[in-house]
Amino acid sequence: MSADGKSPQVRMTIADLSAASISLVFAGWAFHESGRWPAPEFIGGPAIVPRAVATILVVVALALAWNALRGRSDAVEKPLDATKIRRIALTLGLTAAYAVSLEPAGFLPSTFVFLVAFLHVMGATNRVSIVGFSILLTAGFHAIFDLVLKVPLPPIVWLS
Amino acid sequence: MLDFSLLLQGFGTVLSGPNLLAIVLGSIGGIIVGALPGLTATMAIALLIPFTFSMDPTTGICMLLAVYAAGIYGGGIASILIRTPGTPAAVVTVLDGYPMAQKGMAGQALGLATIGSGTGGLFSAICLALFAPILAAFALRFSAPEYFAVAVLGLAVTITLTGRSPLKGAVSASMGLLIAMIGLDPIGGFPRFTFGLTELTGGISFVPMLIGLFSLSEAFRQIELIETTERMTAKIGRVLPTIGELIVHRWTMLRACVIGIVVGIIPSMGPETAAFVSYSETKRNSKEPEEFGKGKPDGVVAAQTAENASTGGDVLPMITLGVPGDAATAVLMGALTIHNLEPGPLLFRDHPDVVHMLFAGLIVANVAFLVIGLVGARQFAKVLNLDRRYLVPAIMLCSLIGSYAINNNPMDVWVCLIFGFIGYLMQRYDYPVSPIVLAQILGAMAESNFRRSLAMSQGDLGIFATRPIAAVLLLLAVVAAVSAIRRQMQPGGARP
Repeated sequence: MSADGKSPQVRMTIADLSAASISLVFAGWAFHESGRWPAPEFIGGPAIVPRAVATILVVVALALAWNALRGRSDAVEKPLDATKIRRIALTLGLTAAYAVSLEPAGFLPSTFVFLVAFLHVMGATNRVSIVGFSILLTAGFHAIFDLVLKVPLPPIVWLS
Repeated sequence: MLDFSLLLQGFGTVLSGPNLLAIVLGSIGGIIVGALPGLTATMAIALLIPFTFSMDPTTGICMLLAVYAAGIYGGGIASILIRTPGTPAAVVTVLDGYPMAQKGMAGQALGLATIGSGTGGLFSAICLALFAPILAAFALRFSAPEYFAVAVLGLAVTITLTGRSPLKGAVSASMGLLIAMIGLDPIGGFPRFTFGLTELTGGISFVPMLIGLFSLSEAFRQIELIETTERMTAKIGRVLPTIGELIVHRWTMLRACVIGIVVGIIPSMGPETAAFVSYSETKRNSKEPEEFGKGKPDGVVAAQTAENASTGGDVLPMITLGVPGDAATAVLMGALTIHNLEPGPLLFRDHPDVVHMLFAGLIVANVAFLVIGLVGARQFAKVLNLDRRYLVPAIMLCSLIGSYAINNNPMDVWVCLIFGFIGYLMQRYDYPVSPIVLAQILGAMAESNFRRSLAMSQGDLGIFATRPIAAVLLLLAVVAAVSAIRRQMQPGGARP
């Protein structure tokens, strides 16, 4: 039994069943979409390979689900605790916010704020290190991409 | 035929002051760019083209060749040290390179990777110079059915890379194949799985997806480990391998050299496939196949040697026929064209001195990164000693900005993020990520050539049986897939 009171075996079974379900949805979607494509004069139209792959996916997904239902799924090595789930969720949210803000806010401010917040989420406590590292990394990336490699990063629109 | 006097003249040109300096700088830059996740050798060449405008064409070409060779090698450094392939080709190096680093054998892994890459690249460059006409003639025999069969064989190989469960590998590969079909139909140009979005007509951006699956996913995975484990304190140790170690790996290197050249010479198949096939073959021929993926030095040697061994093969169809073998050589071809050198048979006839200078340049470039890589390897290895709380944001930022920088497209950041989280979940629940990537590379190739074959035969599937090379390759694919599944499903094999 894991720390959260759930069997690791059950966790992987759920994961396998989820993967099988997602695979079946994708396969069904592929069949549905390909049904609307133009029919070829002979075998070899745009739908033949997607349908063949979708068929394989259905077979494999059913086999995976069958294995899972028979209790043959592998065990999860290290179940996640609430703290780790929270940290990963926060990271995901922060990264999404960064992706949204990158172009409107510009590379320099958005990256600096992203790094400061991210380091805080990572558990860094030394404020000088957090700010110093964020400035250095932001400036370093700016120098490498913008100045050395000549790859323009999003500018600060409201300044220019 | 190779003209040795022209080759010596080429060496004289390449080893002159500015050209040699260009090769050294190109090698250092190539290693650094290759080692940075998101920055590929292809991207480095493309970025370098404007810098070479003002240079003497010979100097510019020398630098581009050095960046190309060193960039492919450099990808392995990040693979070994931070489980983040610097280049797509270095995906396979992750499999054993990173576990070696985790075991405190980072120095050995880096040394073997450098020697392997240098040997493979050198061997390949010499073969390119010696056997270009013969190899070009061999590649010309391939048509759509053969290309399809090669792609299917590559897909079958993914099953051998799926770790414990071939079922999970098959799920990954099938999903990868479906993702590869997003965009325009390769034959008729019909939009498929695009939801009517014009942004998807070009398909899902491959490199951001790759960075997400292999780099960002690792950042997420590292987040789990911040509090539970101590800092990485792997001892780097000795980097330079002993003669004894090199002798142990001699057959692996030789096999990888041959595989790299053969795979590289086939258009559309580059270092990625060479490394995959070489790794798979080395694993298949090993007395300890179960040790692969757990830090087996042979795995690193097989992957790195084949990667760089494929460079000569990649350049061959580009330089002799004007047909680039992969994206990197396509960009390289563009650079040569800018310098008024049109790759193709006429280049050999009209500018034999330039052709031989190219051969000499590639040989010297491989020697240069071999020396620089061995001398500087320990410096790169220090990445392992970084505090994870600071390393994770750096990996995350490098991945996101690397994805953005490829096309200056914010959508690519989202592609990276989405596939990064998917990759994290896949790793967490033991679903291999490699097949999804290999299926991406081989899927488009398989489909287009399958349909071209059917068009050639008016829909008769018998074309694959009547073409000897295609038939043999398909038979090998069936044998490889069946034997791998049987072995992995055996007690103690598939489910240890």
